[in-house]
Amino acid sequence: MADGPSGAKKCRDDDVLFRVKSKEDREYTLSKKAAQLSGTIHHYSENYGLDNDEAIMKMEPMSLLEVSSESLHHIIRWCEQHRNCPIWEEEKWWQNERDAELTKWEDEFMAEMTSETLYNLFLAANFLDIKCLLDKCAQSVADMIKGKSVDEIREIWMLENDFTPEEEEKIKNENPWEAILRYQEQLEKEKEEQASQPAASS
Amino acid sequence: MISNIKNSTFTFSSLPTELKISILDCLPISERHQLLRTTKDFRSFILSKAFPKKIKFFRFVVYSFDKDQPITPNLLIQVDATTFTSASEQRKGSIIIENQNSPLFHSITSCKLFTVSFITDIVDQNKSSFEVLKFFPKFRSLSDFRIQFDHILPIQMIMEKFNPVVDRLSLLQLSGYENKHLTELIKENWLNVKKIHFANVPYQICYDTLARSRVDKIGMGNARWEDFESSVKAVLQIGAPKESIVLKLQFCNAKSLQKDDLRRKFNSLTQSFDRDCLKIDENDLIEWVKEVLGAGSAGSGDELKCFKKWMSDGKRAVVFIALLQLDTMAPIKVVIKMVKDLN
Repeated sequence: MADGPSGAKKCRDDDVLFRVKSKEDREYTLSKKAAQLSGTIHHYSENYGLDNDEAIMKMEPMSLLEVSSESLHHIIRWCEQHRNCPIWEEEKWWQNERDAELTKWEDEFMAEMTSETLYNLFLAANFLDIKCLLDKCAQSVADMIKGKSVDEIREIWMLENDFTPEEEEKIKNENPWEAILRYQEQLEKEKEEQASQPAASS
Repeated sequence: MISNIKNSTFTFSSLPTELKISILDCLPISERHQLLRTTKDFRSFILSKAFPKKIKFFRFVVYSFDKDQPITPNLLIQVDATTFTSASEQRKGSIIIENQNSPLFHSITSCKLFTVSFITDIVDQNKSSFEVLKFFPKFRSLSDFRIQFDHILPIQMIMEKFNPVVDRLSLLQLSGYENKHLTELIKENWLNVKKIHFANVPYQICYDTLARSRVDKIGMGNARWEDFESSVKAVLQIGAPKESIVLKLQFCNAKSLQKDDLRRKFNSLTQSFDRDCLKIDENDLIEWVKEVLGAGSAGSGDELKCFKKWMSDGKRAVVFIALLQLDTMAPIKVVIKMVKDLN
């Protein structure tokens, strides 16, 4: 597997290392700081008393049965690179400072991914609850289809066209806002009907 | 950017729903429109997930304080508890901050509101449009969008990137705006507005653009007569060929009123109008006209007959409110004549 973008941070000798194991039973280590980026690992640590360096150093590897070795490799790279970042406050995203170099590193990191790798990485980030990586993956997947035609989107996201030619022609010329508002109005109507039913029956 | 995906594929449909939604949240609205045409399942998904249910109350206000106070650019988003709940349901949450110290909290509504102040952050910290976008897709459909500020750029950015559906757009105190800014703001592909309301703004906006938008109500406050006359003509021309037009006029002789009084009165009028705009009946309108024209002059005049006939023919297409600072009644007669000509 590639070492990744230049300037990538790695564990230092004096780091307290957290042990994890991929679904292929391959063991990896990552620094305690990097591991803390993962909500799943954080909860695991709380539940298994891994709240001090000594306990972590004696720990058995944490099994990540849903994460492949390849994904775990990338995830560790990501977490090590972000281990000194201020905590990402999702609800105050506009106050989170972005480091230009880090952003560049992230872009290079994502540029290495094939669609399959990205897909697995996205799922792994979700499983491990790594918010900053989840956001980056989501943006990267969204970027795949920006400016693409409907046919190209189907191809990229593997969507099979099940519209009849007549249906396709009809929606081709529709005003999307009208479709959205019509849908919303229909939902509201259904909700109102549901709300009125108990009253009518009582 | 992903460099290796050009010739490969990504099995989007097998992703968990919350991840699909997080991807959609990263897409501009125009791209989400494209997705409606991909597959039937995906269409349903997009309709149900990418454009959440319309928010009932969303007041979006940019304002500055009075001149004798420090100018503090601010943008407030006020949402009610329902909105707050719906926003919180999103996986990424929201940035709602409760701020009861907002002057708007006290002056405009006594409802329990959650206020978000973030324009200062956008302006002062020069946030990227991506970062702005990250929040705005949570509110894809606005029922009340009010802008009162002397700097349009943040709004332009939001409109361009966010492209919300807006039931009502209020542009207040925008006297510093260049006309081209307003025109750009209302570009069809930027803004989906059903109702638009101006107060103290230049009116020479691009009505061709308005005609292509979803506008069905235009309100004007503190209009100068020359602006009003040209605007009425333009709007009537837009609406007249296809459907009958209901023109609702609210006038007051504002000469003796102070600016604040006038604004208060206007707000009061427009608020009551908003509640009833689709239900108001002919007699109410006639009462208004009577009030406008003064006792004894409206009850049997040609103008009123014209108005009555026109109302009975009308199927609401364009609703026009005007609050004029009038020196004479002449402008009213001209307007009514224009309506008459259309009949």
